[in-house]
This record gives sequence, structure tokens and C-alpha cells, in this order.
Amino acid sequence: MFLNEKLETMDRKEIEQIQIERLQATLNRIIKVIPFYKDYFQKKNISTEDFTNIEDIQKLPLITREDLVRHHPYGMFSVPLREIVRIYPTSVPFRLPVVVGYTQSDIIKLSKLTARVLCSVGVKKDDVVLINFNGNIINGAFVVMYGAELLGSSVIPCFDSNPEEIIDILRSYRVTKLITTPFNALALSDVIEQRKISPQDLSLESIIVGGEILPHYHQKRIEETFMIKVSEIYGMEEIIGPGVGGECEKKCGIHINDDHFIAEIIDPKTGKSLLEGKTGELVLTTINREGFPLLRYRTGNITSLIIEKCSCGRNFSRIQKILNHTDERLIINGISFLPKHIEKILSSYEHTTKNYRIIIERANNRDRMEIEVGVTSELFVDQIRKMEDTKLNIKQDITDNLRVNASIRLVEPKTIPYPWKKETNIIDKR
Amino acid sequence: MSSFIQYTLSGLVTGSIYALIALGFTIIYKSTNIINFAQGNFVVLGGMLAIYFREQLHFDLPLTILLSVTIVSLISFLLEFIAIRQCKKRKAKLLTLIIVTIGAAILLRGLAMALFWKDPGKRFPAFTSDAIITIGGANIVTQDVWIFVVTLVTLFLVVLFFEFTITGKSMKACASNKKAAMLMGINVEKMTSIAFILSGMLGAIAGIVITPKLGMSYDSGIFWGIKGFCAAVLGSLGNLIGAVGCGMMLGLMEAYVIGYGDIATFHLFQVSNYKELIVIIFMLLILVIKPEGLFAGKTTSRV
Amino acid sequence: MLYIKNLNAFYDDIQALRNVSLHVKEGEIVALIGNNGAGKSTILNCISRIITSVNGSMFFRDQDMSDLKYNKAVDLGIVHVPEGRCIFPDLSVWDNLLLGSYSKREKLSTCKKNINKIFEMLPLLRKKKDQAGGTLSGGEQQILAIGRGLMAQPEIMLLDEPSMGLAPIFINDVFGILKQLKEQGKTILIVEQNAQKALEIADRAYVIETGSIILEGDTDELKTNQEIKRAYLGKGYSEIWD
Ligand SMILES: Nc1ncnc2c1ncn2[C@@H]1O[C@H](COP(=O)(O)OP(=O)(O)OP(=O)(O)O)[C@@H](O)[C@H]1O
Ligand SMILES: [Mg+2]
Ligand SMILES: [Zn+2]
Repeated sequence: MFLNEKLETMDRKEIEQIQIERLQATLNRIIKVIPFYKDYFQKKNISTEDFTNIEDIQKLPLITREDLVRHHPYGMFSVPLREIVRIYPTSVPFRLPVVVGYTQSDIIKLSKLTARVLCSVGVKKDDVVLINFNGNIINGAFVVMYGAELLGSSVIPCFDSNPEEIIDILRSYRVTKLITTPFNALALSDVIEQRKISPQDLSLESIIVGGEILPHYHQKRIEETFMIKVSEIYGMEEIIGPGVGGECEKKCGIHINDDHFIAEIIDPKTGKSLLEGKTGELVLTTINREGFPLLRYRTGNITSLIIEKCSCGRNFSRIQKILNHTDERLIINGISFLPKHIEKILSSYEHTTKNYRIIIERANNRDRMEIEVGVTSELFVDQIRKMEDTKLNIKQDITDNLRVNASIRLVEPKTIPYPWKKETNIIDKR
Repeated sequence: MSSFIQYTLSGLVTGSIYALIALGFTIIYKSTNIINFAQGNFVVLGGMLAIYFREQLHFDLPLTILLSVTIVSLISFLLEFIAIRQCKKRKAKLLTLIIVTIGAAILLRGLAMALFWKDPGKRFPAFTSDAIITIGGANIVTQDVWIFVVTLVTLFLVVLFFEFTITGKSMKACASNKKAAMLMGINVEKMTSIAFILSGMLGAIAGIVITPKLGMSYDSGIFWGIKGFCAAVLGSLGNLIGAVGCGMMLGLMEAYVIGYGDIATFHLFQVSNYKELIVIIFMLLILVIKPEGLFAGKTTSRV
Repeated sequence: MLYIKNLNAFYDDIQALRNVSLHVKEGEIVALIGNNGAGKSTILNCISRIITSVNGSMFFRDQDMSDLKYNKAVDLGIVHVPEGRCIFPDLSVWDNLLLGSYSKREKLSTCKKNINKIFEMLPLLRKKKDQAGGTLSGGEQQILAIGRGLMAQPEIMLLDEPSMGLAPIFINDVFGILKQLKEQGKTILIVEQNAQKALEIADRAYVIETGSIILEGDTDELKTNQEIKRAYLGKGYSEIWD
């Protein structure tokens, strides 16, 4: 479905025209006000006039989250703070925060954009939409809410409610569309199974997830328990949340809103641009943002780009379902984290050695993670009591920081191989 | 009284010629802002070509007129097309363009001398007869009637062209506001060409009708040019009616100076011999008092 | 309908436009706003081809415009109502309108019919039809200029500051006419000092600053924008900046 069919089905020629217009305008704006770009242009001896077609975007530097951290908090804002109407710090465990700013017109734009994306995944005016996000992506929740309201749907915002409550709301308010994260959707599946609720009792027509990688097996599980389709919307906190793109009803990839973003695929190792169809890291450029424009931002998501007309009528480019991340994050029941975060937690304990092993399995449609932690022999000779304490503390620490459950096994260091490379110290049996 | 009528009639006849020439100046000025100093030479060429066709080649009168007018308009067209347009393309200043027309005037004068003859007295017979017509005690020759009639018809046609045809109106539009005319899709270059062709025609016609009466010499271009230019300037450069009116006025003034000048100055000065001078002084006086000319200020253009 | 990419325009040695890219779609009203001297009129002059010392790509309905002569541009339906009205002062209102349809090369009777249509839309002109254009008031001249533009039956109309120097009552008249045109589905690219008014009527807008476009967007998004206020008020960057 389309929010504005003419706009969403424009041909490539038109899309490219808009992209170059907006890219040039963005550059003309930021070059005067963001010192980072001013310096870069000076250093490279280039000017905004060197950008005459989309490929010229490669003259710009790639931006990583670390770059944003370096200019924290307001160094990458392109308007004075008083024009900013929403400031949103995004934080990821163990990573320094990055702050995103929106102007009034950014808010209008991203609401429209999100409405468009929701429309493409099938949200309609007469839907009752439950929006359930929590924790660190609350901003995305707002964005989705604005978008759904703009569409005219009846929106039930539920932030930080527990799965039991959500199921009750789904039932009693005859919710037709659920927008949530993979983690929450999996948790809801658990509840449905435990309480033996028949999906027919719900009025739910489809579930829309976003905010995290959704592996096939998770998607399958959710679809099977609810007996409805799951669609994905795509975006990230640093950009505008879930308005970057979404699946259309043809389910042949995620359409990127090309009139607001320029998508590229690069080789994550060399940073070189890759041809259409090749798999690599997705790099996004916002071309219609006022407050906090991001140029060539490395999303870390591994995917490939297709530019051809979709059978839904859109000419927007598509990315394949995202299944990987450059930082080799692990996803347990819809929550992602980096092994090195676990390492960091472990290293804060006395008696632990530097080696550990993560074993992931699937049982009863659930992911289970076991962490084997190497400890020094002193701990073994000590009382059992202390060992149990350490185990519990580590477990708690991981749950608190990474929001994942893990069972901990303390082992003698020599039982797990050294040195730890992903292949050897992470065993994914899924 | 009869002498007054006599002076008036001969004034009107000369004035008609001045009017035709002034009109030529005006049309080109209006569409290009250029003063075309070769305008007088168009008169000369028209006259000399007519003599050549009529006397040397013995063509009949209509063919003579047709050929002379065509050739002069072609020359005028080429002057614009070759010289002026190229200069404009190279972003020449207006003054340069005017100097180009002066150059063209000198060139045409030389050509007329080289191709035809130097004899100033050559002419061809009057259009119809040499009979003398008497009106209210004043005598004029039939050629005078021709001059007057041809001029009036021509003027009438020119006014008609400008007022009632779309081409004429678009030429006025070009003159009135070139940028706006371009934006209407009017091909300004084409209109300029038409203006030059038209001016050439007017000059040629003036030359053809006057030659049986006064003859035509290769070097009288300046004389005709100055007269027409004066009339055009007095008529507020760019005003068609003004050009015609002042042409007539100039003719009358000359006639009266010749007729009454000596008497008025008690024969102390040979005033009639200095008629040119007197007319020019008079013109300068008018311009000092009313620098914008006699016909200015009918419309004001606002911004 | 109109696609412009990387347009650079020069006045002798001065570069007035730098990499200007913009487009106008069929049936759209697009506003161009910016400071004095930003290059707005220059853009329109490039599109109507009265400035030719330009480079860049310009396409009108798949037709490459780079070698197009100004009169051919009008033939294509690109009609420019220039800054300062530029009516023909010594021609009557009627003649002004008549010349508006020059590019159509229609029979006089058709022209008359069309002029009457314009009179119906702009009744003020009927009253003054025999008056010389130069004797009209500024507002009347503007309305005449728009009427004259409409006589060419434009595919796209380029309007340069139609409200400049007009009393508020005339500004409302002019924008009333523009609203009518919008309802008729006309395609318009309008340059305006009166940014507020322009944003009310336009679908999209571009903000231009010293020859470069710095902002583009739907008008509802732009209304809140500070850049527009700055461009419109003509204040220096620093003033609103900090
Ligand atoms: N004919 C010309 N010759 C030289 N420079 C010019 C010419 N016309 C415009 N310019 C210059 O080009 C720049 C852009 O002018 P332009 O008329 O397009 O501005 P504008 O945005 O329309 O301004 P305004 O709001 O005052 O109408 C200005 O710096 C101006 O001085
Ligand atoms: Mg202007
Ligand atoms: Zn599709």
C-alpha cells in the first residue's frame, strides 16, 4: 500500500534527480556550519561544486559511530541548538553515547516518512495499532507513534509493559497490528505458548518488527505461534529510527526511502564501494535532515542492494534481509550483544582467566546460551560457596548489562582452547 | 496668398521625403537603439538604381521601382545581418554599432560612385508627365503630386503595418521591451531584420520619387541623412507619428525660410542661401528647450 | 516535467549560479526563495533561455534544452512572467494580451476568444483594455503581465516576484489568481520575496543562497525552517545563527 503513490512509485530518473538535489543542498548547508566537514573539505581541497552526481558521494569520508562519539554531544549538529526541538541520546551497552537532534521540520518529515513505511507494511487508517518498544529504543517508539497517528490509525502506545500485559491488551482492545521489537515478539510468543492462548482469539493481522536483526528462525517461530505474517521495518537510532525503509507486501527485501536516503554497499574491510548486488556493509546518507545530517554513516549491517523495479510498483532500491553485522554480534532471543562485552564483564572478576567459551543452542524454539568461564585454580580450591557466588554475580551482571540470560559454568582454563577467535570460542549450534 | 500656398505645397513635398527618411531612422532605432547613418545612402542608392534601370536598361517604371526597392532592402538587410549582428554577438557597445553604420555609409557612397557615375545631375523622367498643375494660384509639377501621394500611401501602409498586423505589433513590442518580447517568443533577431528591410524600402522609395525632380548624386547621402535624422530626433526618436510630423515640419520650415527669409530680414542677409543652417539652428534651439523632442511623453513607462 | 542538474550561469566573469539542481513536476507549484541577489531571477532566465552563458543539463519533457533558443522555449510552453512585470508600456492592454499569444500563431478570432477568457478571469483588465500598458498602476500591470503570460497557454509558468512592490490588497489579488491557477492544475515555478505567501500556495520550495540551493522540501516541512526566515529576512548568517 502507498501513502503517496505518485511519490513512492517515481522512476529512477526522478529519484536520482531528487537525490542529487538534496545531497547538494545538504552539503551546501553543512559545509558552513559543521567544522568536521569544513576541515575535511579544506584538507582534501574539494568544494561542494565537485558533487555533480550521486557517485561523487564517495568523495566524502565514511562516518562511524566512533566519529560521532568523538564529536559528542553537539559537534555534528548543523543548526544551532535553539532550533533543535528534540534531543535524543542513544546508548548501547559498553558504548559511549551519541546524541541525535531533530528540528521541528525533521519531526514533521520523519513522521511522514514513518507513516509511509508503516503504510507499505500494511498499516491502515482503521487499524488498532499497538506499539510496544522499550528500553533503549524508546525514540523509535515515538517515531513510529507519530507515523501511525499521521496515518490515522488508533494507536496504543505501550512502553515498558510486560508481555503478559501486552497479550491482555492485544486481546481486549482487538489490536490489529502490533509493532514491536524481535525480542518482545519472541517474549510474547513465549506467553502465548505458556498460557496456551489460541491465536484465533486475537484480532491481530500482522506483526511488524524493527530495531534489531530478526533471524529467519526467530521470524518463523513468531509467525508460527501467532499464525500471521511478520514484516520488518528498518532504521537505526542514529538515523531516524524505523523510517529508513520497510518491506512491501511482495516481501522481496526492504525498500529504502531513496528520496530521503542514499544507500551504498561497501566492503567493510577496505571501505571501497561495491557494485550493486554484492554483499557488504550498508552505508546510509541522510539527504533530507536539518538538525543532524549524517553522511555516509556506516550502519554495520551486512546486506546487499538491488536497484530494480519491484513488483509492488516501487522503484526504490531494496536491501536484502539483514542477517549479519560487521561487529559479529550475537543475537540471543532477539537481543544482540558483542562477545567482547561479555569478555569485559568477565574481566572485572577476580580469579577469572582471559579465556571463555560461549555455547548457543536452540531448545523448544528458544535460544539458550551457556558461557564457560575459565577460572584460576585458587577458586576451585576455595569454598563452593564462593564459586556459586561468582557464578550468580556473573549471570546477574550479564543480564543487567546485556539483557540476555546465560547460564554460567566455571571451568579450568585449559579445558577451553586458546587463543580465542570467534570460530573457536563461540559455538553456535542453531 | 498664392505664394504662401506655393511655399506650403513645396514644403510639404520636401517634407514628405524627409518624413520617409525619418521613418527609416525611427524604425531601426526603435527595434535596435541604433542610429543608422547609412539611411541617407539608401535614398541615394534607390535613386541611382532607378536611373540605371530606367535610363540605361530601359526597364519600365513598375519593374524599376520593384528592383530598386528590393535591392536596397537587401543591402539594408545584409548590413544588419553581416555587420551589426556579428558585432552584437561579440558584445560590441552601442557606440561601436553606430560607428559601423557610419562605415557602411562611407562604403555605400564609394560603391555608388564606383559602380555608377559621378555626374550629379542625372535623373530619369517624371513618373507620368511634366505637366504643371495650378492649385489656388500655386504651380506644382505632377511629380510633386506623385511624391506626395506615394509618401502618404507609404506612411499609411507603415502605420497600418505597425498598428494592425501582429508582426508590426511584435516589432513595436521589441522596441518597447526587448526582454518581454523575447519572453513572448518573438524572435527579436528576425524583427530586427524586418526593421532593416523596411527602412531600406522606405529609403529606396524616397530616392525613387525624388530623383525625377532633383536628380540624384552619389554623395548626397549625407544631406538626406542629416535631414531625416533631424526630423527623427525632433520627433522624439522612436515615435513614428513624431517622425512624420517633424519631417513635414522641417520641409515647411525650409520652404518658408526660402520664401520669406529674405523679406523678413530686409534682404540684409542672403538668408535663403543658409536655409540648412537656419533649420539646424532652429532644431538645436528646440532641443535645448525640449531635449526629449516634440513628441515625447505621450506614455510613461513605469517600472 | 522540468529537470535541471548542475546548472552554472555566468555574467561575464561572475558566476551567478553554482551547481543548481532542481525539478518541477507536472501540476506542481514550486517556490524559489532566497535573498536579494541570490540568483533566483537568474534561474528563471536560464530556463526561459534568455541567458545562454550557462552549463549544466536542462530537460523539459525529455527535450534537451541546452541548445534551445528563447523563442523555441516559449513554443514548448515555457512562459516566463519576468521580474518588474515588463509589460509593453506604449501598447494597449489589448495589444499586450494579444502579443502574449504570439507563440501560438493563432487566428485573430481565436485570440479574441482567448482574450475574452482572460477578461473573465481578470475582469479588471476588461475595463482598461484600451489604455496604454504604461499608464496602469503597478498592481494592474502585474495582473496584466500574468494575463499576458496565460495567453501563451503555458505548460509551465515561471513567475518572478509577482507581489513585488504591490499594496497588500493587490498582493491578495495576485495570490488569488495564483490559487485559481493552482486549482486548474497549472504547473508553476514561482520566485517570491513574500516567502510566507509563497509557501502557502506552493507544494514544494527551494531555498537559494548566493547561487547555491541550500534547502529543498515540502512547504509544510519548510514553514518552520529558520533558513527560510533568514533567506527571507535577508539577515546574515551569524545573526540568526548565534
Ligand atoms: N545582467 C547582469 N550582469 C551582471 N551581473 C548580474 C546581472 N544580473 C544579475 N547579476 C548578478 O547575479 C546575481 C544574481 O542575480 P539575480 O537577479 O538572479 O538575483 P535575485 O535572486 O533574483 O535577486 P532579487 O531578489 O533582488 O531579484 C547578483 O549578484 C547580481 O548582481
Ligand atoms: Mg530577482
Ligand atoms: Zn516492493
